[in-house]
Amino acid sequence: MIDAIPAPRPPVDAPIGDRNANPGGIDLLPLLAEDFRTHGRDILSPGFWAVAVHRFGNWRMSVKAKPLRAPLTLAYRAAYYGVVALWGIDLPYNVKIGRRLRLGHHGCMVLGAGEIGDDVSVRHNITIGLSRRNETKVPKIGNGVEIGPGVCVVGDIQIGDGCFVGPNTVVNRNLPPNATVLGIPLRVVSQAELGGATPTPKP
Amino acid sequence: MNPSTTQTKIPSSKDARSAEELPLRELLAEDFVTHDRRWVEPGFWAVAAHRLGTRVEGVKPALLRRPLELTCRLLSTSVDWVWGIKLPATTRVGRRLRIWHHGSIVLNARSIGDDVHIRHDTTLGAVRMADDGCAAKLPVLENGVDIGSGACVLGDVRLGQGAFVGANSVVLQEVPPGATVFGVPARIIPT
Repeated sequence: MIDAIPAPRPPVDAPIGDRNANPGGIDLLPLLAEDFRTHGRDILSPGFWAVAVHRFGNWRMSVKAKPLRAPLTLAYRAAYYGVVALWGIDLPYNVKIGRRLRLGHHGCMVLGAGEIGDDVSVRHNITIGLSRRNETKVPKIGNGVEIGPGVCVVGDIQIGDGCFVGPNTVVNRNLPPNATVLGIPLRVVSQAELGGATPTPKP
Repeated sequence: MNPSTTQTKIPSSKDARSAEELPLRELLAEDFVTHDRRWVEPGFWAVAAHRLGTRVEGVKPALLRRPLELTCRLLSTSVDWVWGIKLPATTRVGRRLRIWHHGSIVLNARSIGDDVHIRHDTTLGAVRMADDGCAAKLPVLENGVDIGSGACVLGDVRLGQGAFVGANSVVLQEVPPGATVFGVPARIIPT
């Protein structure tokens, strides 16, 4: 009978969340204002609230005195589970994220990455996480990466800066900077194949 | 407003009037019938919120229009938050759009024709998120298109009349009328 009990899972190799890992050089309120602008100034945008709760969860770790932090931790957990229950956006505070992360639309985003860079945009139905239950390494995502809807990014991999991951792709290997990938299994494609993969410059 | 208890005429499918020409009451009654006469269908509420929102734009007195617009916005946001169906007011929607199931549905298209079927996890939109507001980079769905669950139709592409898109496919190119496409990226397959 004892054999049937599975061995305890090894801890995931992600930051343990014992400090404020918000981007340096900017306070909480300007950071939230920037996130608000990133999400199209839409106060009803689920992505903005998910990122805001993440920022708050990190900021509370800068309060060193535990009795003072306890109510903040309680508020953070309530908000975190609220975001998960209402919109299905799972973004734990110990995932290190950069500035201007944009979560477009909502629904079914599991963002269990080790690290996400600046100016990353992510659409709905995303999974970022372990490739197998017994693995410990989670993906790292560079700056300026755009991830299309329905994508899975799994395993001990790194997505280079400026990559574009096309819709419904499964990424399970390292991507060089500025690659455009599509498919299961993924292959590197030209921007033309994705039809207008270069975004229109903002006016 | 309750099409099941009052005797609202349900327009025949041979009635050639477009969704814009039909009276709101008949249009909603038709959508209700399309969604199997079930009030609990999330798809019905998503389509109804869209129909109301487009009609409210035509209300002339601003004093009346503003609160109506706010109500419609709250209704469509509730549909988005509760069921994850996003059907923006900028998308032109034809008659008898059927949205099956719910969750992660984003329908940011230029236009959706009549008798279109859409399932859960379907995404219509621009290839790059930055282009989502640019109508010229959004897809067009002609009449009778049927889209499987998890499919993505992205960019300036046209899905011809009666086209079928298989589950989890990614459509980035034109689909001729009546064709069946499947795969990532989608290719035409014999039926």
